[in-house]
Amino acid sequence: MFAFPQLQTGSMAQLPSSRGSHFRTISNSMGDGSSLKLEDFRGVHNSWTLRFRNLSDAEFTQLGDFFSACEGQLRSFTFLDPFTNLLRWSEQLSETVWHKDGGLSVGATGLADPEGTARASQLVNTAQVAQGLRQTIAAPGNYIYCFSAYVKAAQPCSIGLSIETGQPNDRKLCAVSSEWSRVYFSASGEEADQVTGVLEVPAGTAISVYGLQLEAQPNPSPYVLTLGKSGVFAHTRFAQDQLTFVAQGPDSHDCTVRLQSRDEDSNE
Amino acid sequence: MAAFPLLKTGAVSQYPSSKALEFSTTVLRYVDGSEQRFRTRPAIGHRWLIDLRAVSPEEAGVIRAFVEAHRGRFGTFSFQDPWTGTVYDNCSFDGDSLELNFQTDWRVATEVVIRDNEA
Repeated sequence: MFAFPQLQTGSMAQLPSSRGSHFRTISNSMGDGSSLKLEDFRGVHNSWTLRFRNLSDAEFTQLGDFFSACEGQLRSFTFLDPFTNLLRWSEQLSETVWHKDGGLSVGATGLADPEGTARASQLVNTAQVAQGLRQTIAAPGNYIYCFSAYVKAAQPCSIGLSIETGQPNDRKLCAVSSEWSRVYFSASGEEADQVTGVLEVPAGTAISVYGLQLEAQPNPSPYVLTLGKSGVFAHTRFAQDQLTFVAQGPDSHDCTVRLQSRDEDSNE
Repeated sequence: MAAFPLLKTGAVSQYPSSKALEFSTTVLRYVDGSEQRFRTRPAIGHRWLIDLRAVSPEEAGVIRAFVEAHRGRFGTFSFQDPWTGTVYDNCSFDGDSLELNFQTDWRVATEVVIRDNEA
């Protein structure tokens, strides 16, 4: 998969950086002060300004080679937004993007969550074996990912977290108590064009879950709610034809990258 | 009608934020120095600059989802004036872009401008 590279640290960006959401609305102002508005769907796009500091020689070479392969603004690539959740419908577990094994179902929703709101859901496994909840995204399998969730259960138990890229990957067992706790699993896989986050509920168990999140970095960052759109942008381009690196010293390079992506639901 | 989201503290904005009261008056000046003035907008207009200098990534995500759901200037929503508490049922964003500045792992800065469509 032709994708924006991950840094050696496993992250996609450094802080501070910024991201923009852009729309286009055509507005006609009437004589009485009112206005008629029309949405231009084709004008929706997202932008990122990524400020990199102290890149190593290897990272500098990798980013420069990638920019050259893209020929500046010419070619598009897949970009994993570092500032959002890569999953869709992170709190709507009944949506079709979430695949549930046969014995797993979504029970009560609108439960109290660790944020003090009521957005948690219950997962109920009525089978005799562990059952999984999974969502697949189109992303490079050999990047480092972190899959995290807030969980709790009436009775102590252990759930399994894993990240699958083509072949099933290692699984991490996480203890679940009667208090909310955030659990996570980080891994990188093989060359693949899909990555799947899997949460396994043990047999005959019901757990409460909130804040499911998948990110292209080693450790979890604060949870970000998502609806129908994810953080995977398959048609991203550089918004610049010139990329300037400043060498601050041996093995230390700075640069600023500007990216732009049409809305992933629009045609390219 | 969807309402503009509140922060975790229950507030709408952070300091400093600003509010503008707007009118639209056409002034015709004649050679004899006299003037004729008339309003071109039927009612007072309200515009709020919501300055959010330190919100969490989750709060920033909620705001971004709200802007995207309303497609920039296109959609309408209700907004409670943080100064007076008055709820305005027909408001829109006054721009088609939302910029989020991720400063640290836990702090994001942004600002949005909201206007009352009733004016």
